[in-house]
Amino acid sequence: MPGPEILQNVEALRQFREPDMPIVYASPDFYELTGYSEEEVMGKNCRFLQGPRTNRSKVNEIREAIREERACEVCLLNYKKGGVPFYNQFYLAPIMDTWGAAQFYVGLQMDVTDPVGRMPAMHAQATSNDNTGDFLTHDPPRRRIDVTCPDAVEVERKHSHEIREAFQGWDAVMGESKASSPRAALPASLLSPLLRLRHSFCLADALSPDQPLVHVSPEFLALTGYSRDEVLGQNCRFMQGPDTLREDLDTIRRALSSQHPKPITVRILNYKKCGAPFWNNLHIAPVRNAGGQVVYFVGVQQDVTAAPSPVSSPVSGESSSLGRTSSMFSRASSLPEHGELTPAQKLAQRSIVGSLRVNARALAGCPGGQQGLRRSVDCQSSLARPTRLSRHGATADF
Amino acid sequence: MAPLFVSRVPTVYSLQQLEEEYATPEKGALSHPLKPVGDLTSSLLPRLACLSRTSAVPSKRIRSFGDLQAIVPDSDEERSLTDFSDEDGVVPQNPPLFGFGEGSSLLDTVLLAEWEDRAEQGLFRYDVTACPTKVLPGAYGFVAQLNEGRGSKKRPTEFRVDKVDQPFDEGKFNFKKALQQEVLFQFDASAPGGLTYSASAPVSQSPNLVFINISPIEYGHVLLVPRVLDGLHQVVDQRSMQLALNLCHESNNPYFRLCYNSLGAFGTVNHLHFQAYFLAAPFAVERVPVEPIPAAKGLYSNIIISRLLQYPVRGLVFEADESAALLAPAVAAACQRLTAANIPHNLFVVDCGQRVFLFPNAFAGAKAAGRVPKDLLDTMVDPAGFEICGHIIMKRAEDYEDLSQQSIWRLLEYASFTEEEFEKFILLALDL
Repeated sequence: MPGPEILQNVEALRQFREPDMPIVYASPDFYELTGYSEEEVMGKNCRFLQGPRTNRSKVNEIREAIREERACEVCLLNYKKGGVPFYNQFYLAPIMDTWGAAQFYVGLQMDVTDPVGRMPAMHAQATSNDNTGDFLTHDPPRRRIDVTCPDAVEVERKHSHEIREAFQGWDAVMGESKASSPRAALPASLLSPLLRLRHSFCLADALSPDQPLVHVSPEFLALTGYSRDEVLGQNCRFMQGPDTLREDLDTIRRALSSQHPKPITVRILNYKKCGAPFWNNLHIAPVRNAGGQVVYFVGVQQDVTAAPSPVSSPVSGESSSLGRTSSMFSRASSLPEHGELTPAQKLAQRSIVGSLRVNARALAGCPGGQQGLRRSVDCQSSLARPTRLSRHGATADF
Repeated sequence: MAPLFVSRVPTVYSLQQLEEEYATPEKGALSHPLKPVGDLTSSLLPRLACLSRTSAVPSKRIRSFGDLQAIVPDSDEERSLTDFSDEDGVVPQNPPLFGFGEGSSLLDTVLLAEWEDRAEQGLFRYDVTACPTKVLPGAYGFVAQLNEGRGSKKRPTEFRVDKVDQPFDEGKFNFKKALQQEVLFQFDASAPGGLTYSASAPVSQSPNLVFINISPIEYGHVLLVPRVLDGLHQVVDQRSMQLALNLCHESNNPYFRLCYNSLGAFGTVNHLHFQAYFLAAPFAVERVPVEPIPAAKGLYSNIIISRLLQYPVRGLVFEADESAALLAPAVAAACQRLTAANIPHNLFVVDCGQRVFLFPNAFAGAKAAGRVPKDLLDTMVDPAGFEICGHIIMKRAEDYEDLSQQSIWRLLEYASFTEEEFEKFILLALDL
């Protein structure tokens, strides 16, 4: 984690490239404000600050900002430990790596509750037409969704900028991504749902030459024995070996290279990094973006080898080489295998494809130059303060 | 007054409405895929069961106060894995066969998997993911899609639009006539044993079924038909509303939204059903400011009823504090009053069942009375629930290209009640 000199003013830092964006750092001020202790907060998602009266439109705004990898500023009702509500002028900003992909989010909280306990302290007059409730007791007025506290926002913007500046020079955060290609950094709208899927699968970029892998799940790495860096950017043919049948490969190629590529399931002999073969009940599906263009192929693996793989001790030290010439497993195709997939296995394969399709469809900032389901920068802020409903036939006031 | 009719092309939900295009599909995992749903008493179907939420059980999504440890780890994920029952008794291995991180659910997994399976079998009329979609410029972020395959080649049928309450008619298309292969699973929301999934289970007396919509407007488009064999007509009651909210709750996915269209508000099948699908982007209406209705305060405990501000269609918002289960009586009562008063209406459910939008829909009336300009009619867009809330499906490429926030605004305004009408509507819907 960053040294204290960088983080002394950070309120909460959230690791974006881990499932569910856990908090990886919080400042003393954060603990003081919220009443929680370090062990209660670390590794958790920030949503524990939300409560029954938290405005859901505001939560939506935050979710969308993360999906679109941009900053956002909202004033929303949060809750301290023990349930005491406070108005939080919240500022969230991504910390981008060298390739422009978000690695961390920094969140700044500022308690802008008026001491009298009625409304945000600053610019309260902006809400003069609100019915000011006694929310600190029971009933916070929930409609206060367009209140912002410009003074607080100004402080937070400046603060956030300083933090992000400090991060740019810090290799421990940005170092890992420097090794990978820019394509390897998936957009946020796709990465966060992918991180939830706990199954062996990989994603190949259908638009780049030779269709390199752009994402692999931890289960894929566990199954094949490779590290992430060894496989990202590679075509997944490294899983083939001497006894992989050419006709299986042709079946896949035919299904995926046609004008209208279709999902395909093949039982194919693949090889782990150590050289051990396994029967892979492989399901591959084309995945389209918002423009309807096939941008990814997803491959979902299921090891259906019946008996333990042959002992892999013969593999020598240079096993990291992707090429494989060993004939140690020449009888690999006689490897015993299980029959049909169980319903659970089949369900898992299809649900991963389905989940990818849903998220690739909305892909914000996706390959192929498509905008995706993302508002343009000038339209990303909250809706304006309500003015007046337009009447039938009248021109709407935007 | 004479009944009002409009000519409209019915949406094709089921293969049984398309005899001429019907082809024998591959045999699926279902025991009788090609039999109609009306004959399902001896069949086996996948079944998803969850706890009953009819009582005011606090929702697990929203924290209750106290110790963090008690609320943050979402123990349902673990439970759903161990409760996975497999036909051949296979217990999930370690690591699990499939799993979900925080925020995803067994229901999503099953729904997406079964939907994808039907897509592979070729049961849909088109690949909806190949239909281009975009966000229109502007602060509202209306989402548009070009879908040239959805329109039917069938002749438009006369559809009576001026009566919200019409008796169930066995002779017309209903979901008992759909094929069993169009069923994704039975949805049992009153299981005592908690969340379970079974790939093949006997059918209960009159199961709640989740069907595919063979003319999907987004990925995962399904129809929830409560107690399918009972032949309920298209009117929301408390029990069916509860079921629909349970479905949203179990999905636990903010991008899964559900909608209901009454007759006269572009519901086209008079057999009680809700529609739902995944769209991984916000609907415009979710971002719109609201204003609580003072007179509705205290009407229901822990529910805030507001009205939308600055939106082309006037509507109400029901929002639950603690439990989605609380919303069902309030929303269903409003729908019953609207039905009795013959006001066509649409429901839109978001935030995993904790927020429900209710719109009176004036479009069909305006259309039948000839008040909607020809250029809008030519686009053939009928603003039902999803359209009103910000997802517009265009049937012609030129209309899709020309679309703007202003043009959608103009179209949707014809679905809205006027301010005077809406104020009366509030009093009626909430019985104030």
